[in-house]
Amino acid sequence: MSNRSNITPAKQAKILDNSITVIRQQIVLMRKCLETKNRFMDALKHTSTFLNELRTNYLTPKQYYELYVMVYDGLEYLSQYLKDTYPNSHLADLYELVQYAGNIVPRLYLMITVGTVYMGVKDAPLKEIMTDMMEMCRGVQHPIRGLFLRYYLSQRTKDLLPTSMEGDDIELKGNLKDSIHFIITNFIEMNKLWVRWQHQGHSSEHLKRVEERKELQILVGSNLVRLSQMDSIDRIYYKKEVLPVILEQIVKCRDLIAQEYLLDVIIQVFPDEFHLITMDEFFDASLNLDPAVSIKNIVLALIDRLIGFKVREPDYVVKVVGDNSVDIFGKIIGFIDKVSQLKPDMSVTDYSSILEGVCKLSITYYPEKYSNIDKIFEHATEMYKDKRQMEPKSTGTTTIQTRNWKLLLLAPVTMYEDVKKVLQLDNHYLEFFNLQSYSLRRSISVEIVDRFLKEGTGIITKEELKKVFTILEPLIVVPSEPKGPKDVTAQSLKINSKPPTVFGRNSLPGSSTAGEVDENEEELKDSIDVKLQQECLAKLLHLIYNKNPYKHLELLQLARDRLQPAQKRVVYTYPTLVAMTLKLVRKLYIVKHIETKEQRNRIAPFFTFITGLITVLGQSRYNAVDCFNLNLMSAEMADEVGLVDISYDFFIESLVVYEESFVDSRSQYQALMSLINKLISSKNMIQQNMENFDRLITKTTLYSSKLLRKTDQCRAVCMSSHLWWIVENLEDSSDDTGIATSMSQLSLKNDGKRVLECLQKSLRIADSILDKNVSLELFIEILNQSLYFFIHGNDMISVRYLNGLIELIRNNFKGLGKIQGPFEITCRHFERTLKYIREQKSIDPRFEAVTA
Amino acid sequence: MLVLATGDLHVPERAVDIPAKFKKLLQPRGKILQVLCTGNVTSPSSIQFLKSLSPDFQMVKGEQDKDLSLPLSLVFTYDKLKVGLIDGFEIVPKSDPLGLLAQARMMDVDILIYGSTHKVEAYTLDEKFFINPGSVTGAFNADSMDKEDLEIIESILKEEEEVLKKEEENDIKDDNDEKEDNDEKDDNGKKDDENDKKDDENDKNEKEEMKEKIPDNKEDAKGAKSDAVPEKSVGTEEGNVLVSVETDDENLDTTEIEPFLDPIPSFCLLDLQGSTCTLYLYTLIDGEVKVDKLTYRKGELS
Repeated sequence: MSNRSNITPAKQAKILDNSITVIRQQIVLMRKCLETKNRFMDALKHTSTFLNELRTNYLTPKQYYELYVMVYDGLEYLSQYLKDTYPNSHLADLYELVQYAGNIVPRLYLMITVGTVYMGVKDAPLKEIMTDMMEMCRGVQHPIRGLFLRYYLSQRTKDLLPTSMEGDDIELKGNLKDSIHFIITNFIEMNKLWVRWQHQGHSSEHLKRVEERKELQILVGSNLVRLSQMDSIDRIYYKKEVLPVILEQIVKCRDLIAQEYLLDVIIQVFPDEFHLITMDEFFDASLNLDPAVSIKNIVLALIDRLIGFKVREPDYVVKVVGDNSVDIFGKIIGFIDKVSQLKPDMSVTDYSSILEGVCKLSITYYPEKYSNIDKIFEHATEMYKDKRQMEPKSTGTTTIQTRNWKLLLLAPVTMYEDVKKVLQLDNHYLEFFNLQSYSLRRSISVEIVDRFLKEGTGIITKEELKKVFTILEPLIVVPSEPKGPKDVTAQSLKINSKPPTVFGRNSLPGSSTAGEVDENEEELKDSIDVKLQQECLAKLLHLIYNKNPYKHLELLQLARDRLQPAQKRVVYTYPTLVAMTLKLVRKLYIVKHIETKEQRNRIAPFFTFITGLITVLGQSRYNAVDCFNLNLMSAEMADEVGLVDISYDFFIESLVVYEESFVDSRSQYQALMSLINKLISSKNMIQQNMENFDRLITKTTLYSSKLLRKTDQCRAVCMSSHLWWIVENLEDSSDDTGIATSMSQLSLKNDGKRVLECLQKSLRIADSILDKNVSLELFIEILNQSLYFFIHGNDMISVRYLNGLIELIRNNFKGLGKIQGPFEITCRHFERTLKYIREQKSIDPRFEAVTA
Repeated sequence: MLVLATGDLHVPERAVDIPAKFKKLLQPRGKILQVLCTGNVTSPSSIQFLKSLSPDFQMVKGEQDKDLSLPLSLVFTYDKLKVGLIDGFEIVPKSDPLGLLAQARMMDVDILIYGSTHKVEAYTLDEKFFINPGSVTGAFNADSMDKEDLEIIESILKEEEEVLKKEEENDIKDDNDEKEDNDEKDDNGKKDDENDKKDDENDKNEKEEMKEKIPDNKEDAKGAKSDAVPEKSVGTEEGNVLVSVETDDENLDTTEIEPFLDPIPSFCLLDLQGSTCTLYLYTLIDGEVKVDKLTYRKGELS
């Protein structure tokens, strides 16, 4: 039947060209004849000639379609001519006449052309014509020619089919039923032709056939489109009369391509509300398909359509869901159960994809029905347990499966408008969640945290907090060997192979170098991945919120309890809790809730809580810097709110941490700078408990003088001088320059003598440094600090003192002879300082006598 | 040359992240040639983000940064301008203009960028330009708060107090209308729609009702209350409802002042041309990005 296999593409192209030329010429001729009087028969002859080109066997479906389009245009012209000029009464005769055309293909095209014009005429015997044309079309059984012929029939009859349900002359004109019958019959016949095309020719051309059938599918599907366009079909009629026949044909044809394609067309072309009430029929049919048909694709297409429906017509859907007329979820779950019974071999990935789809559908339609989701995960759990035993694991499929399980678990996370609803899911969701591998669970946890952070959803009750922490457990309790073979970062850090060093409560703080090496290791032990995840977790803590600070604290305490199992990794999260608690303290202070005795009693737990957190952190020596800073922060905040005794305790704690754990000279120096600054800002303690304050600053000055490196020592002692001379700017900031002279100040501490002592001491230290240049640089820095006190009115730092200091530096430079090398830089610093002093003379008369 | 100055992120200890609006603004477009960071970055993700913004990332050590290899100060020369970068925690007293000036003198810079106070500011002093880009995340800071912010909060609290007083008066008037079916008001502050009480203007009133539901605390002393407590409520009828400190604390609601507690997120862009620095101060106030422009010319007296 088909000779195409013997023909080369080049030849096909040539044949196509020839045919196109013929058709083009003949159409021109036909039109000329039609425009000339009495040449109608010649016109038909030309028509018949170009129609003959459609008899070819040699072309591909695409090429044939090209011819068809041209032919269609030609016939359209003829049809228009007939409509406009041909006497109505003669159409019946003409209809008879064209049936004498020699070949069947041209004959039927002509017949349809005339027949459809005839149909448009008033009082035409519609029903008879329809039946006749349909019958005659059976004459062409070649798949491609038949498909296009019937497609022509379908196109031509488009607007002519009767649509009324009843009328006076039903026998003559037919009704909607006849039209539907007409379209469905055409559909069935076309489908048969289409399916048959698969079996034409040599079996080696199987794939080519598949390809061609895909090209032809739209012709078959057009019938369903036509049906969906018939407005007179309502959903009940569709359910009763239309869909069953179509489905029957689809099931009966037993063809994979046809079944997958046509079911998809049904889903796509018919209105949403039709699908809502025909789920049973649809699912029943789906169960009887060719075993190779992907149930997953069909179900997911339907689910997508239904989810889209909710978006398109939210009111309609809400109504349907509201009156519960269709149990959408129940039907789908029922179907899934049947599928897994009938097709136990369905792949896990397909199954989980379906469940994922159902999950999304349920959340879209029934956002409040958590039991649905629970049911889905019950199914998932069962499936997971079954399959895990049965299927041998190959890495490839496992990866895909894992990905699908992940998508399934994430469906609620991404679908719920309010991510908090995920917290409503427990039982089976959590059961299924816990069945998964650690890395999968962890990635879900991270996604959940991300969603929370993205929405900025507050966690405001204890219940919520508990549930959040349940689902985030993988982030909190990290297994000792979390790094699987796929964990890239694990390999980059070889340190893991070493057993971790334990810093117990009892480990004595030492300054041995060995201890420091271990410290570094302890820091590096967590890969960047773990660090990022812990960061995520810490960020989430910021979402814990209650408008009432007391209740807020309770939540933070609960969070602490739930974070405890993280053991050493609390280092990532506890500092956040401390900062949040301090913020609460400030809040209470601002709303004046730290005033009465009772209120002060109620504030105590806040600081107790903080102390507890810092103590735990302090168990690892690596956290010393954190502990030191957190203590200082707490001390500062306690002072701000007027709790000077508590502030003192925290200062003491930070000094203890300093003594015990700071071994590196650089970090010691930096810690002291922080400490000095925090002490200076402790206005309340200075005013209320000078004794304590003195104790602290004496200690701090002492530490400064004990630093190992002399440069650090010198600078620290010099800076300690500020501890003995503290001024508060009362009227500040209105002018941005902030020049000291323009401010009125409150002197909080003005022990000028001790300031001088500090400066003198630092000078001595500087002087004892062997490197002359360093020593000079320090002199200059001390001079600069001295200027500060001079400006702030410390009598002990007099003009004489400044002059002496300047003189000292000058002489030192003189002693050097020629200033070169590194001394140049130092000298310029000196010159800049002197220039500054000279400039001050114009602003501040006190500077007059300074010999700069 | 366009340089971004930023710092004091404190993520995740004190802030969740750089605000989305800032992130959008800062998206790498190849215009920013260098990022200068005043320290306190602390989290790996923040470092990653800052590094992604320009080809050149420079950072000094803040007091919270644990990496001891970070320098405490850096100096850069751009044409005729020298710019110094420090965290500022080592300036004693912290952010003191004279202290900063001495630091700038020591480093021999025209512009000194410093941080650690989380307060965005820029000023010229002694012909030098001082820039604090503030905290780009608006991170909490234990240093005492700005007076202006405190004043705002003060006024909010006052307003609340007045509203409360008025309601009390109304309550006394409408005593007879007192509703029986006190709504269970949940803690998360959702408004209860069913409450049809006419003069129920805000949830303060609902709280009043809550309090009235708890008669057990009657014996608690009136004296415990201080007039300055804004959330404090007073019995609506003599001897009828007395509110203890406990209940008072229970009903404390700090929602109103919340937006003023944290520092304003901010960062700076410096456009350095010859001896001129055009500074753009970006701040995020009430969810809106505000930009202020300042120009500094070397050798020009302020």
